[in-house]
Amino acid sequence: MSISAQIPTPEALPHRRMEAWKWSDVRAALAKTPAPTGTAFTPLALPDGVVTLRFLDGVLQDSPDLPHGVQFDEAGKADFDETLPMAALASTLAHHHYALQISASLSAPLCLRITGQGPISIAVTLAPDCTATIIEDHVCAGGFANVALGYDLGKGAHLKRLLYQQGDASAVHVVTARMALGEAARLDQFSLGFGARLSRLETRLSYQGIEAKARLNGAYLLDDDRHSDQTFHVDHDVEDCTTRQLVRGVVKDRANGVFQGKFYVGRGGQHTDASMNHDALLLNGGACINAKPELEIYADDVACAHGNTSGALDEHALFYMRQRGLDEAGAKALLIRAFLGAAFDDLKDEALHDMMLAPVMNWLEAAL
Amino acid sequence: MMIEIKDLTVGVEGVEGNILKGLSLNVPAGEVHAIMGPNGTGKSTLANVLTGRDGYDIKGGSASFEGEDLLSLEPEERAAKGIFLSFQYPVEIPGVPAMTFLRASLNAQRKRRGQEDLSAPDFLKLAREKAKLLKVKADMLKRPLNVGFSGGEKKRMEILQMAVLEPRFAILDETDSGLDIDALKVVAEGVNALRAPDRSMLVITHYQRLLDYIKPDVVHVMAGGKIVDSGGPELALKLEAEGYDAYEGAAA
Repeated sequence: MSISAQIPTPEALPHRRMEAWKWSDVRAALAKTPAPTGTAFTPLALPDGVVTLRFLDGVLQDSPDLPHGVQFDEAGKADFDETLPMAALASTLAHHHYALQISASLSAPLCLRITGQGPISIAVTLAPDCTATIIEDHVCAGGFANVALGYDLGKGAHLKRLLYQQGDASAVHVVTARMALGEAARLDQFSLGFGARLSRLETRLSYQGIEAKARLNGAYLLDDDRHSDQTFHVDHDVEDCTTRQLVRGVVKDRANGVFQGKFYVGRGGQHTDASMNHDALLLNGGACINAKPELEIYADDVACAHGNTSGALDEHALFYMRQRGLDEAGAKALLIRAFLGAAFDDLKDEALHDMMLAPVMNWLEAAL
Repeated sequence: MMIEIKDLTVGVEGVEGNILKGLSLNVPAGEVHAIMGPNGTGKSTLANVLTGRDGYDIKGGSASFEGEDLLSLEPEERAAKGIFLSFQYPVEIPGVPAMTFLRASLNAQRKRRGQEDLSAPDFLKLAREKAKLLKVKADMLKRPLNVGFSGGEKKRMEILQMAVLEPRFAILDETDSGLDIDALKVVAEGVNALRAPDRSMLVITHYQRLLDYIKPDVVHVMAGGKIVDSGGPELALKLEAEGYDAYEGAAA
């Protein structure tokens, strides 16, 4: 399978004149395909007992023994409409469509390790009242990877989704997820992105039943010329749903961080309780943050809030810490780790918290 | 000589004029010196320049620690040599527990001096012991450094850091500001406990009150960017009674 065959025609690709893609011009990025720079990638250090499904260039590589209650098969095409153009493309062009069905609560996380290039689509279903943790480990070592995921959470189901993205400085890396939450379902999501030439981690969530809850936290750390876009859209059109979001990012060199968040509350979304926060640190003058927090509300009895900040490290704090003996890099690392820590605090499981924090510590050591 | 400052002339980067105008000062090992002077005379600038804060333009003179030039060193190098500043306004550091910060600081200094890290249990023991002396509660050590601390708590935390880091030369910049009399006594006791033959201190203060509790060997009067008078503790009492007016002329 040649790579060029996997790149859609330019007309099909979203571009900067589309509002949702103005800071992530996929069409322009794919007009040229630079040679990979050979970035070294470290896979997540998974806790014991995690079963991993490995995918390379859109194809499942092996068939591990799955826990009781988990089924994994090839499936029919998933439908994505024009609100998720990249996912729609992935689904149209993918040679394989997979379905992961979870019909029992899982004691250990499942990992989807998705590497290589090309389109792939995976539909995940979590049966009512089941609890599961899914770790997505996305690596694109060059070229173009386009991953489409669909998650359906049944009534009372609880999903922890941990998403980890690494891309080569030459790569275009898109991961899109559509999430549907049934009544009283709960999603705890954490997305950690290290960017690529262009990377987009998009989550489009819709509450299908009342009293569901989602936490959509995330972090990104970017250096050199890397780009990372974390885009979220949450539809609240049923009553009594709760959304919490805290995304924190750090950019240095000429890197470009993008955050787009939109909370839509329709007339049916009475008693929605939602808050969106995004904060970014710019470590030097050439780095860039583009952020667009949006609330669109049609119900009259809701609590919605958003906050968005960007700034530099506190010079007074840096001097204070150096006066105590920390070197400049150590002082910065401690401040940045503390800044990002707020987004990690909701990862209550210590093993998962440490797993997600490890690449952050590595980045701080290498980049500062 | 532990600290030897000679004709130090310093301005702020990008601003005309000087704040320190040929300041000279010697502090021998084991002594506590006080610097008193009116506001805006450059006392804090002196503390900042000695510890290596950015933003100053050193135009002339020298400052050395045990015969070694200080001014060319990075702040963290000075810290590892044993230079410590108790800040007039300690900085709040959200998200970093005081204990974590203090241990990272101590081990960074030790590493630079070629010493082994202090293990977590040994550090905990040391920190608890010093915290008790300074009446710093255990829960304060777990909280993010200085965040939500009262003025008195911040100053006690400064002296606690000094006690743990065991510097050779400590500068106390307006350590008395914002302290009530009880807090002042606790802080002064902590400082006095650290007096030692191989440790010197420079106590910067606006008021004589602190010097009732931390008895200096020598009192210097600073005005117009330099030391204009030096004497024994009685000089502080004289200043308290007569004010700084007598030195206004000398400053010009």
